[in-house]
Amino acid sequence: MKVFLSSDVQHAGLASDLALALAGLGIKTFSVRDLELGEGLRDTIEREAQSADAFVLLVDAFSRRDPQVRFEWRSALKSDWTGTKPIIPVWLDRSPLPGFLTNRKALDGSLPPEQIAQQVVRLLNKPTDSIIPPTSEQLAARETRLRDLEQIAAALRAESLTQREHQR
Amino acid sequence: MSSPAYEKSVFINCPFDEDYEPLLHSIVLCLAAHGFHACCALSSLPGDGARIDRIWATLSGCRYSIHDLSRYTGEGPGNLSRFNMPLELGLAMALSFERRSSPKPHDWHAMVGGEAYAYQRFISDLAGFDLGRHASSVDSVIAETCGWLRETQDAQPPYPVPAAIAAYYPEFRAELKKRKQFRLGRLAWAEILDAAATGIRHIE
Repeated sequence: MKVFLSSDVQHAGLASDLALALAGLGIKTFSVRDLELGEGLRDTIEREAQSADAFVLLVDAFSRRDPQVRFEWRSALKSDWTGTKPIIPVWLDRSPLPGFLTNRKALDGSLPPEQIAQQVVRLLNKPTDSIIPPTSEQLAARETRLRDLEQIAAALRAESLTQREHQR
Repeated sequence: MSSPAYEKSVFINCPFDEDYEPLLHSIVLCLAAHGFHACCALSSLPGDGARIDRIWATLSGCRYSIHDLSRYTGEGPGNLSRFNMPLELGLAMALSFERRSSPKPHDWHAMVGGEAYAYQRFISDLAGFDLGRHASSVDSVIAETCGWLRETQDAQPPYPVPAAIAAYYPEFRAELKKRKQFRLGRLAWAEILDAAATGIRHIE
């Protein structure tokens, strides 16, 4: 089991403590913070994301604006072809989580790293617990989005066919 | 609803040719599967003014844009490179810069196929940016597009997994082929959107 651990520079200390705590529980981690900056960095991130079994993301309002962190998140999402890799946010403040993490069980970032690590391991052992099933409001919002798309597309299609008739 | 919401509109900037068509269709399908409306240079009709004006008008009505810079080598007898894609990316970057504090911001995402770091040579001003990558295959473009889309502010779960989108893709292409034949060989942009919007009901 290998976990991709993502954090910004500001939380490199916590990431390092968490990596240590996870290692103590038999979980190997990869963190970009352990690497030197260089041209091959992006390749390494994408490769490590592809081979990772799970992701632990340290998230706060600042990390969301960090281009490096966002690249790591995109790489994580890109690697999750079947939606089966656990993506576990560690919530460091109470700022709203990015949309893609709103259906994930977020861990409390104010807890000691050892405790967070134990919770991570628990979720890794039962990955289904890391996903929050969609609420009825989320399902209704999705239905509205799909209906809107259908209506707009149908209207554009009708308009396009009318234009074509005029051109004849 | 007659026009798409700003925050749900995505401008696609890519080659519009036969070779790229399968990849373009995969991008449109990914957008629809995430509840986004796809726009591009083909969205507006030729009678609506100069092409670049129409492109600007369409782009500026979109919250997001996705740009594929894969065609950077020379082509044809004159060995000429196409500059439309970098030009439209430049427009999107200008829009993003101009609207950075606006209630209607714009975010762009650029990607390249093939050699990973070639863009740092053919468009070296982007060397500090993290461009997305794909392998010029449908699956790799679906993975890249989904990865980017999900990380945007306006993508809200639930949405289908990339594997499910890829599994439906052949059926989507078959539907487009059918519609193209029915329209005597011409497939309007609105027809592609309609096929995607009705097709995503089959993805789960």
